[in-house]
Amino acid sequence: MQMALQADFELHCNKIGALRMPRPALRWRTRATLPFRPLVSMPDNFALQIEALQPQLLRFARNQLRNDAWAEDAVSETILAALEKPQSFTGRSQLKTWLVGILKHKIVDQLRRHRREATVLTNDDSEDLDDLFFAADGHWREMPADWGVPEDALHQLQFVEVMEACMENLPPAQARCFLMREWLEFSADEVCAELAITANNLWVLLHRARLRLRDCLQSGWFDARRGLVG
Amino acid sequence: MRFFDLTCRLASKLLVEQRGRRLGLRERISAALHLRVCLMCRRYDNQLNIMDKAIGRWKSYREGPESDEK
Repeated sequence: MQMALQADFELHCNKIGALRMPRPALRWRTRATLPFRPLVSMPDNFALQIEALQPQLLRFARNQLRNDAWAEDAVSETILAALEKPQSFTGRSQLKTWLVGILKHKIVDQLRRHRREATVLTNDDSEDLDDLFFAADGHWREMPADWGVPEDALHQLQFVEVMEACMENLPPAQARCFLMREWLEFSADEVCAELAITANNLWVLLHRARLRLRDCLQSGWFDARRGLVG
Repeated sequence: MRFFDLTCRLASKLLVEQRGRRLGLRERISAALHLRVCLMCRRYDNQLNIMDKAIGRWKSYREGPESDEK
């Protein structure tokens, strides 16, 4: 019993330490204190690599969970799971892919756990967003540009980076809905249930997210590229 | 651009919904008719298709190895 408690305590410290204290000592601490140190030989820098990916994981979690404490918990649980079960990392996928896969599950866990206390989604866009793109009579203010068939662009790293930046710039409520659908692959019904919003609320938010994303891609990629060519 | 009272503002929202749920019969007809008569919304529809593909690329980027946190 005593032993188990001690182990629990050390685990807890480790969990907190992994998050709060950026220091290379994580590696030996992990090896020295975790009672379940795996027998399979892991790459020496396994824990260090995990630690290096932590800020990115946290950013992903924060996109999805409004509460920072929940986001930190989801990341801690992910790191813990990775350290506890390194044998499930076959090395066939990249470490990051594997961790993000775990993180997705942990985020879903957090969402379910806190369903009741989830902050009510506020309307984070002014009602005027539509007026930005549409005239009073419902017509487009500007002719949507012809994007053609930009197959080449889709394979360019730079394009995807613009895309990522555009996602990061979505207002929080839109980002959460959009990422739940596209990244966590929730059904529309599931998103509504998790966020306690009506179907119409959801479609309005997704519609706005698309309008914003389009606008951002237009100025961040298509216009910028035309500027280079012309 | 009006058809069955569907404005571009509403049509563009329907085009997004179409990608996530099965539209009702009337909605499908209005959306299809609107697309036939409205070049602007056809352009937007094409942009949505491109965004869908781009989202696929972005997902693998987000989870893939090549994006290092800078």
